[in-house]
Amino acid sequence: MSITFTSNALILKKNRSIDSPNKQQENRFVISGTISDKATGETLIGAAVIVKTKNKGVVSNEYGFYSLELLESENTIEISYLGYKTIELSLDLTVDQSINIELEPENNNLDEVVISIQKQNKSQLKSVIAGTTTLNSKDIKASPAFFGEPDITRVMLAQAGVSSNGEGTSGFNVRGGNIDQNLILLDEAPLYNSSHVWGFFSIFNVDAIKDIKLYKGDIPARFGGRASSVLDIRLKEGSSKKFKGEGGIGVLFSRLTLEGPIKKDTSSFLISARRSYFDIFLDKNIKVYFQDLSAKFSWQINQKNKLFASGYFGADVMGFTFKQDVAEDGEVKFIKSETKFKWTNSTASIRWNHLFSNKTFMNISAIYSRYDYLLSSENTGDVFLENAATSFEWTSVAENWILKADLTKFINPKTKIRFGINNTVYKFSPTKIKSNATDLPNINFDSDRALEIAPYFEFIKSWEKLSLNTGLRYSLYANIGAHNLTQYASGGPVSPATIIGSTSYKKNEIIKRYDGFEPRLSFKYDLSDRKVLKFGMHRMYQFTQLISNTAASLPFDIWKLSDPYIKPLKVNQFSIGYAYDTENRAYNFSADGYYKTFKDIIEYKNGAELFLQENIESQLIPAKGFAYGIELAIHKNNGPLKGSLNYTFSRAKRKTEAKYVFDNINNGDYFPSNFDRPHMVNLTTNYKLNKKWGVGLFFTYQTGRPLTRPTGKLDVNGETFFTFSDRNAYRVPDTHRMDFSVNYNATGNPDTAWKGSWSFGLYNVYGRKNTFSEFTIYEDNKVRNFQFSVLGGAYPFITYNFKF
Amino acid sequence: MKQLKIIPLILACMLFTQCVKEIPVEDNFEAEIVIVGQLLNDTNHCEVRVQESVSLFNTEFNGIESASISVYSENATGENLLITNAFTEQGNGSYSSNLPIDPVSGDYYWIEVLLEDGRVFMSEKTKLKPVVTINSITKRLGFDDSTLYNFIFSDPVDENNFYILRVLFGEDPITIAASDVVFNGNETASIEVENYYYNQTVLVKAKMQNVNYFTYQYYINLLSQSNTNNGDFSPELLFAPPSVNLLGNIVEKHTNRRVLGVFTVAYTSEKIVNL
Repeated sequence: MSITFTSNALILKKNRSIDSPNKQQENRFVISGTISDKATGETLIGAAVIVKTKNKGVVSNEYGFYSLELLESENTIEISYLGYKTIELSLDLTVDQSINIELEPENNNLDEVVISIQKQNKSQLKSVIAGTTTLNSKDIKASPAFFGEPDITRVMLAQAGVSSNGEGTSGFNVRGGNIDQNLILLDEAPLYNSSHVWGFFSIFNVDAIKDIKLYKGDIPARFGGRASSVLDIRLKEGSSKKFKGEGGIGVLFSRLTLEGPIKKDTSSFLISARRSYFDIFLDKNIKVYFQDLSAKFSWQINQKNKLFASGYFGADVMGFTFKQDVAEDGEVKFIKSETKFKWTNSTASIRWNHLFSNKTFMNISAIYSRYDYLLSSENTGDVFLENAATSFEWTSVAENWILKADLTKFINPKTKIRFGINNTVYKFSPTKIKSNATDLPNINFDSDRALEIAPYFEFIKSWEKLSLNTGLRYSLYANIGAHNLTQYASGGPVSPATIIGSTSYKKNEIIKRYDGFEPRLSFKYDLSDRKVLKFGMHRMYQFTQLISNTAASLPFDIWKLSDPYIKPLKVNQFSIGYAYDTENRAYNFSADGYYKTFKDIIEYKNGAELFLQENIESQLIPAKGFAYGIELAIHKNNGPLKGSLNYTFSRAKRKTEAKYVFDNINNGDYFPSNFDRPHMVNLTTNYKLNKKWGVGLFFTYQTGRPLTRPTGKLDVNGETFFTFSDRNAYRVPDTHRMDFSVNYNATGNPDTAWKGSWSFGLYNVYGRKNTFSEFTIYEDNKVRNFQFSVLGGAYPFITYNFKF
Repeated sequence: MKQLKIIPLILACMLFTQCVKEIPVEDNFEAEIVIVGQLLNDTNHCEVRVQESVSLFNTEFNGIESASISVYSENATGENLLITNAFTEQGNGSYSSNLPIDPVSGDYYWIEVLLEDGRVFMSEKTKLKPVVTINSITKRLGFDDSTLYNFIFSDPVDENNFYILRVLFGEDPITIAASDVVFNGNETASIEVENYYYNQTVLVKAKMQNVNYFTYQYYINLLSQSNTNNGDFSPELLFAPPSVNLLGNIVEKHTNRRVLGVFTVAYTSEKIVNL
């Protein structure tokens, strides 16, 4: 049966049944199908299908699929989704039925950069899993934007428990975890770098995104491989109803997204691109830009099969060119030197949805993901130019191949199981340098390879007041050849001084194997229909870590796989939560607490040399750590003034555990991690003045991040040197910032498809120079101290957004 | 090769450098004991300097007087010997052994320093590695009219080696710390030093020591601080790793904690050429 709506009528069309009713259960019937947007055909993730007057129902999965078993008497169901009109259906329950449901958007007006129109509800009552945040592109567009450009990373940073090392730094830290502990998935493909322009912008074009879910508390067993959070981003499928587009023209870059049916209601495409142009403000010999392209193809093959193919390609390019006339042997030659630094992310996913029955859904995905960077320099002629570099090409690549299968069995409205297997092949090629210069050797460090196999099982069940989401994942990891593994003298430290040789491993030969069970458990207890208590715990293993000991992660930091010297990171987290909604859900309140332990996290020796380091393990030391915190959040959903306020108290500490005790940092005592920021406050407010005008305000405050300061000086052979405090014993001043935006939605001509809106405002309204780092120098017999701020003032912005 | 790292950092700094401002220096003084000693065949004496760090605002340094210093060795048979504990104070916390010491290749050496307040500091046992001779020195034109001097030697194949190279170009001193990771076992290994004397002949005096890892790491930290702390703003500072203390192989006996400084045992080879 399919249901569509006209302006004032509900049309029900009966489809052929998929299965006959079970004769053993004559009075039970299954309805199943997909829930989608009526206007675009876009499937809706997390839409609720509930039996009217009864506390039972299901939500659509990440492909919009639902399955609900009903008693014959339960013939009225309600389907709801945020921002869409709730509908009620009366069913004639005599057979199992396939019912594809289309929901009509609540507000068909232009909805981009609308700060206050959308009906928001951030209630945490329904989710069994504590510490989850669900967002869509409207939420992103209504949130703080840098230069008026909506950005996923900045929205993540406005959530309780999420922080960063400072403005413009790459990635984000979740509940005391490093940035490499976030599993960032774009249509299930993992991404290794989520930033453009050294961290100023995220790599995702918001116009192309359908749904974002951040798991920072408990994490379902189907996810693994990263220890602290999962950011699950799903691209839109593209409208299967009509051709449409949207985009924006901003100060720094522009974006355009086109989507439409290839065959109406059957197949669709989406293509989305961005390109920056701020290099036009720079010298013509300096090149700084980024670009990205997302594309997706969706094909509903038949009622039981659907195919998706999607891809992403993004690149950042920085470069400069030197041109010079050089006199040589009495002849003037024109010489040119070009230096280029480029980093790229690429992903490709093919996914196949299959319905084995109206209760069993399967998805199989084949995924490729690649992150690489290139630094190259080219000189024409034989003459070295002033400031020019040697001719060389330096590359580094991290690649994943993934094949995974996920099955969901909807046993009854209160019970669901998910199970599957995830297989990943890793290949990291850390450094390869091809050089034409005599003073720079050719370098090709051995690639790291590994295989990870992870079957999982999830059991989701609810009773009258108690709900359970539990699971178990088993991760089997093998570091494999071909590889030459450096050997160190036994009994001593792993250091360049104790290298005694190397062992060669053949292709696919196992060098080191690790395995372990990862239990996941989440409980929710409904104290009333407006109050819930939650409890959860999980364990995660992480087999790949980012090697970076700088204040901010850099694009040329390298990824390192677990091997005989670097054990997998193991994280256990325990969390407890309380959520409360006021009457009519006008306000949603939540309080979450957590305690988290880290084992075998990477730390760096005093004075570690990581740059072009073949034996990187000789510069690392294992560490353990802990993090704990409490996160309070309140959301206001109704009225012209809407918004959210959250406060986080958290601590994150580390303690090195070197075999050779003198390698320990701070002599083996606990010290604050680089992103230990005890107090964080975020305020987001939107006020709708009238149909056309709205204003938005964002404010953030965070305790300054830890740093190591000089504590004295000494003399070595007549030269002055500093002594330094314990690692991270001091802090930079606290940071805060306010952004203000005004949004104008032109009502325009209702007869045309073109809808435009303007967004303008000020980023960093009062020009706060937040300290990113400090450094001290000794100059002219004087100690001088400097502060570095990434942003030095208030930045006005204006963006024109359109939709057609 | 460091230029490879600097290039992208310079690009990043084109975006950022206007956001640097000078701020007041804070006095977070914590006193630290610093012990730097060496036993080299070219001086034949053990020399040790003991000092306590001073506040960033002090103009004088604080050499520690009246320390008792002993030098020990362990020979190939595992026998521990007190070489000498007779040292002469030379002022400003500097001490020199009264008698010459002839260190033996393959033996281990260490020092013990007893302060007047009863605190005892020891260096770890440090092996004297065989001499590595500088065979020749060459020069060629580099970038920006610079000159690249190559100090060529034969790197021992059987173990990892670490070198401290001190070069005097006329009166212009340069110190380099290098490991043999790139050129291990190469019979014509070379350490490259950049300077600016291509069009003129200069007296090049080079001294090279085959040192232990801790001495190498101490000098890496020393040179790193020397580059970053002295002079103007550098783009690298924006992305600098954590500040590094000058830690080597000295340990406070009672607390078993590493303190600042290093004790170096090494043979020195020297080459002097007009180039």
